[in-house]
Amino acid sequence: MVLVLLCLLMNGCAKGAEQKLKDTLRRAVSATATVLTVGEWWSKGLVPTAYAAGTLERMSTELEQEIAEIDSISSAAVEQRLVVNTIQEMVAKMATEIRQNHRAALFPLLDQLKGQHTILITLNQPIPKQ
Amino acid sequence: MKKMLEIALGIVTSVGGFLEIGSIATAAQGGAEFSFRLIWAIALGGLCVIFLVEQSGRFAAVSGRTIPDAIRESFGANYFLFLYLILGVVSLLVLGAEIGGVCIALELATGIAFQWWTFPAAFIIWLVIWKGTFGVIEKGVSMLGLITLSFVVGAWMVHPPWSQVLVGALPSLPSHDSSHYWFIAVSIMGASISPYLFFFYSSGVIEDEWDVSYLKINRVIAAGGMTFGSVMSIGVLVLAAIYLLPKGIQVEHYTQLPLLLIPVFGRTGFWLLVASLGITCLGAAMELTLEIAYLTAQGFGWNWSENQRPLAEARFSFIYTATIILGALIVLIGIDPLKLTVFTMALTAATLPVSIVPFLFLMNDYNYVRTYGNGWVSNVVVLVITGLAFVLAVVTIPLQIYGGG
Repeated sequence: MVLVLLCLLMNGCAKGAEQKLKDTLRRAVSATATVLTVGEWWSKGLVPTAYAAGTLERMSTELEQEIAEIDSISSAAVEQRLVVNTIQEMVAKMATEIRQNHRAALFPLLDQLKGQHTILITLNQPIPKQ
Repeated sequence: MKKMLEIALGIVTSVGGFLEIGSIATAAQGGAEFSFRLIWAIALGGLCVIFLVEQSGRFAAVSGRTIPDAIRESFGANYFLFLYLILGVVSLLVLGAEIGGVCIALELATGIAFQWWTFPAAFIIWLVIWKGTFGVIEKGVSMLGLITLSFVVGAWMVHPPWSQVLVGALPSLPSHDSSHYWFIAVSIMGASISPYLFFFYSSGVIEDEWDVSYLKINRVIAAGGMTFGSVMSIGVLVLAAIYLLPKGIQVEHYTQLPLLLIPVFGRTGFWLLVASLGITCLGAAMELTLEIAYLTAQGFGWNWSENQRPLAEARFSFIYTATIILGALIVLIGIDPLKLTVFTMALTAATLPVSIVPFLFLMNDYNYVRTYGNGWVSNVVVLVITGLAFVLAVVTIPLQIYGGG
């Protein structure tokens, strides 16, 4: 059993640049989905302002880290970097709007973020083989 | 009637005390990334801990000694020091994670960064231990911990696909990201089979002055309490699989945990999560602190009891005071509490053989357990658990490196 586990492990551990980029984008998708969920719930009054703003600020920091990670993995992932960067700027803006209790200002940002989220998911899909 | 009440209270205590930051975090990660496929890890961990808790309780009730005390006597001072160092360091790290959990709950409730809550949280833990008795800590905090039943109620209310939940109880190979799958499986088992849990339980048996007349009660409490506790962990995993996985949300931060209960209970769900996190971590932090103090006092032959006045047992009181300070310092270092939690759960799994191997010998030693020793079924189970512990010990560190990130 130990050998089986170690074989599985060795099989899974050799992460190339492509896999690292995939993992980074998956974390960015996760952070964006968290922002969308918390933002929508805050607009409906389901979560306290302090929690919503704090979560968005944390996700903004997380996205900054993912941008740095993309830079260190590949200089060719220009499109992915651009999308994550756009999302990070939007999330930072949303956190400010929530802190200032501007519910109305949040709706258009949420709509824009949904669009960017969809693009990010598409960019992280495997390219179909011809 | 009195015994029935004791059984009920014991089960409630075990249920309330089972779920803590490690089991919540690892179950949520498992559900969010691998749907119901890791339910087997919770079930297996729960089964192992039922046997170990029952045996540690039986050992203490029959012999009037705790497991660490007997380890020092039977295996010698060197082995005890080895166990003490390993278990002490791991328990201290887990304590840091639990204090961090209390602080995160306070951050969620107030919006004030968790680091600021470190010393207030540590002070509350210390004050309850200093002023309270064993009963207050064991029963009081664990009763409050019943709030975590909200995870089971929530999982029931979302009507999960029960056939898939049942299939998840059978071990299966991952469809993707195998190293991460096994890392989470190991962490889930590390969260369930915590040595502090059964060592603390055996100290509790002595504190509550159980004898052989309590053996049946011990068995029912161990089986009932740990089973219900595992069901609560499964509740967390089911909620994560239903609500987080479809959105692609992985649990990377504690701030994502409220997403589990809000869809079911609305705004109340947020506060249920905050209360569950705060209370369970507070309870676990107190138990860990006491466990380190018990381990030290039992190993070095000092007087120990949480039921005595602190000044009457100054060395015991000093150890738990110092332990809390060290645990708080771990939080202040600035390690992300979730990363610390998952790391310590894996580390717990890696060090299991050191704590579990002595069971094989002590539970068959007539000088301690007389005619109440293990039967062949219990011995086979302990052998299997020991084998599992060795497997976990071998694979944990590589998995930590390749699957933990």
